[in-house]
Amino acid sequence: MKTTLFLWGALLLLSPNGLAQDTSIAGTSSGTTTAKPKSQGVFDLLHHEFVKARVNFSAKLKELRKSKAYIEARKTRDFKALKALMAKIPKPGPQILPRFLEEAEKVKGTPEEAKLLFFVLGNSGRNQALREKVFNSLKARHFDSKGWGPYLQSLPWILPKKKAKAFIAKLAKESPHPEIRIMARYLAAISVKRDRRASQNAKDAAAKTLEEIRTQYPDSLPGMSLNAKTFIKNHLQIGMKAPDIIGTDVYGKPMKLSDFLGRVVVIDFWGDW
Amino acid sequence: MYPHERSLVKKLKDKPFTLVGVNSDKDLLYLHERMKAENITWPSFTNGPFGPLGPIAAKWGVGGWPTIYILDHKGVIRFKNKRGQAMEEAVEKLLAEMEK
Repeated sequence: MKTTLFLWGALLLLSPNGLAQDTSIAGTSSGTTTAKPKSQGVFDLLHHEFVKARVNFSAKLKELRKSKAYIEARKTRDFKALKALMAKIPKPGPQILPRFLEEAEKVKGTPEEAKLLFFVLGNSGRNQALREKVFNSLKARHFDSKGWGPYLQSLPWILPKKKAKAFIAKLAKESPHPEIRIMARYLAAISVKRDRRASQNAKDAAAKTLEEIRTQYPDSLPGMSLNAKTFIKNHLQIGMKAPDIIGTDVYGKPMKLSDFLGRVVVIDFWGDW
Repeated sequence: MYPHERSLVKKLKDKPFTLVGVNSDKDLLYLHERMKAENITWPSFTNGPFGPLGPIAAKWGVGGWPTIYILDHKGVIRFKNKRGQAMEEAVEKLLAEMEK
């Protein structure tokens, strides 16, 4: 059985700083080497620098953890010394994110600004003030952007919970993009469903919303999620022929699961996060 | 997970076996660097900009990471969620079946 992922094409376009972006940087190279950025857009260059800084940071951190001074400080629980040691390693965020903001300022109101700001929103770590500042700019100038999509789920962690909830509700009603509205409605309904303190009325309304998404929008991401139990039952049991997966590899090259027919295959859903 | 997967891929490099990942990272450029550092040489689909909420995982109802499916050479699902030593034994069993 072949299962085409209908939304795939649409998804590639959905996020201005997502996949399409990343694959254009990596080109179509395969193997494990990262190609040099081909396009010289400001976002691409900064993104590349940020990644380099992250890699550098991890390497230095690994080194530090092996150092005598660090091990000693841990042993004696000398937190002041630990902090001082950590401070010697430049963090990628404070170093490079301000430059994203500078560049964003120069292209205020354009999709390029949204792309830069969404990246900062997703990578601002524990810097609450920065996150809120960037969120407010995005809300003011880029409410209509498709770029919210990949960040919707993490908004309750990025922002104070109440603020996130209110904003998701607003997107659910007012975003011009149906896929954003559906995702926002889905996330809002799921959070009511899981909230023990929610009223029975609210829970009933949430269940109705989820059922509507499941039946009316089965090819949307939330629709697929809500139908997954049935899909597993009908297509993913031991002894069944695995449905094909038609997508792209992490370097942007088209790839199908059926490319590997004739070989024993382990499918491993994984993430480095 | 990486060390075991790496050694399995290395051990079976001359056999008709492929480890196919479905990766849920959002920043692919960073992922490329991590894959280089961890010597992850096997192919992976990307689950797209929505990360774990993306289309392949959504369709397949993947809630826990990692999730494992093991297919024989005809593409039939034969095992689920076998890890470590159990994964290796399952793969060896399916490879042996091919030689019959």
